[in-house]
Amino acid sequence: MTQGNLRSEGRWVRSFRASALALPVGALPLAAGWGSGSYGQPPEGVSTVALGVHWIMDWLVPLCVASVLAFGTAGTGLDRRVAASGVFDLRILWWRTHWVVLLGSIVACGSCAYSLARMSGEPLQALLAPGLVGVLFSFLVANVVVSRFAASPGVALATVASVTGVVVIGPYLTSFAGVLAIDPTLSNWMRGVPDRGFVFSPGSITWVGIGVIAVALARLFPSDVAWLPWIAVEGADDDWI
Amino acid sequence: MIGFDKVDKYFQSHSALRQVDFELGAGIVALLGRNGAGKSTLLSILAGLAAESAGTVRLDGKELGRSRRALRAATTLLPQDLRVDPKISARALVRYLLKLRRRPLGGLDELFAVFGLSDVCDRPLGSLSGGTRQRVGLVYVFAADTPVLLLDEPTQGLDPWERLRFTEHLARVAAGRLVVYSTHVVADVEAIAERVLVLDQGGLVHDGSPQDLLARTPPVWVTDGDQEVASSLGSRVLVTAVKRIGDDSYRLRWLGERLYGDARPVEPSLSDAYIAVTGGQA
Ligand SMILES: Nc1ncnc2c1ncn2[C@@H]1O[C@H](COP(=O)(O)OP(=O)(O)OP(=O)(O)O)[C@@H](O)[C@H]1O
Ligand SMILES: [Mg+2]
Repeated sequence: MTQGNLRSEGRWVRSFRASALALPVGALPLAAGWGSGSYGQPPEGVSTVALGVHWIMDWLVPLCVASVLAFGTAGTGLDRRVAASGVFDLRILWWRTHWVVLLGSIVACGSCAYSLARMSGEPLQALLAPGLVGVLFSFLVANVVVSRFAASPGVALATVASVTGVVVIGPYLTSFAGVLAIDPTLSNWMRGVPDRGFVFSPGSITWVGIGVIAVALARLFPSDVAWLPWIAVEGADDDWI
Repeated sequence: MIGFDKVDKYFQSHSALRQVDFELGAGIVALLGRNGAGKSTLLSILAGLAAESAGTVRLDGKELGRSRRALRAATTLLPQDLRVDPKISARALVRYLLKLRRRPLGGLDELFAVFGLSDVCDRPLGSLSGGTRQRVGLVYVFAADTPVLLLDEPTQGLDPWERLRFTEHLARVAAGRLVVYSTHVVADVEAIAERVLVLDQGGLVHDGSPQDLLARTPPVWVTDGDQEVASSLGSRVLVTAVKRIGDDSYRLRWLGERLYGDARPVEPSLSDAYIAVTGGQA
């Protein structure tokens, strides 16, 4: 109510949030990479289009989903001083409250994979599997950042986009971390090997496993919401928690 | 029902509650204290939404460990300045809150009627006045019907009629229940509280009935004087009221020493008593 009053009295100040720059800044590596030609040389027998659609599914789609989820779900919902007294833990409630967005992201990822597969001639599962793993990983990161740490929308966007971005691009660009790549096919191509890998790569299993463990730890420590320092903070509005 | 033993609460190095001890049984308890005294902090701990930094909290005689689930299930807090979605209706909000807490939904219409909300409870909350929204919060608390109700400044923004309606309803439902409410309106306390807790800078400085609070009040004096008297008095004693009664003429009311021969002793009011216990520092 305070928020409404302040707003109507014209004292509501919402200044520029520099963290909103996270998305374009996160997209820079792709632009810089393509600009400098480091993504541009597919191995023998692989088309540039095939390489491009793998980049879109492995990197751009998860990063977009990460940004949308972080910015869109941070600080939303009921006054947490009331929500926290519900029967569900706030950190679990996040999944229930946002299931439409989560489902929508999966559908968007699926349709993106489908149309890119039709367009490029790549097999659907080779695009869908890494895309879905990246999207799932971004869900897990967003859950931890938003529901355990109650980051404000800007901070949540910056954090979730950065973590997801590093995980979904890093391994392809570094020669030693190839085993952590979610998409084994792209990882091979980036090293000049024209083969495809098995879609469920060790990288996928590792990252989803790490994400699930992080979510579980964030739920268990602290085990009771009363020990989260921000639950009872008075009148903290969405942007400045 | 709820007991505190030597409860401290720190925010980083700032101490919001110090060595708070009490045992609350059924009844209506008023929580008084100046801005920043720690009332909301105390209510959050009672509601199981914040944890004490030191000391122990008991519920029905059992010491509470790290899990505050039982405390949350037994209590309903109306936060100071509840934030709500302006687009949904009062009825939808209250129903949703009750479902979230698995509380029965019956009797909502009667409660909306009690608080004079029958005509507006289907309008979006954003289109209601501040005091009306405050009453929606009250409907939620009374509908939740838990053994402990915690109200953080429930009468803020309520007009005198609505305050009366609220206190009447509170008195009606208080049987067998613990109701703790914080307030800055001393008149609210006179009307209904059986017990008064006064916090000052995080410490509990009074715990007893309103009569006990009155009984510990130093003598109260009243005299008329000019601007000079008024300003000099403020630096020497605790002034509890200044009323302008004419050009450069004031009726002054203070606690403690008589100071002027023509000062008349008067019966202390609860507001004098409150100023006396919290008046340690300016
Ligand atoms: N989350 C927090 N972080 C740091 N300090 C806090 C926090 N919450 C409360 N405090 C501090 O604890 C003290 C008690 O605050 P509290 O909100 O309990 O006061 P109050 O008695 O409810 O005041 P009011 O009458 O203004 O509502 C204040 O000094 C406040 O600055
Ligand atoms: Mg308060």
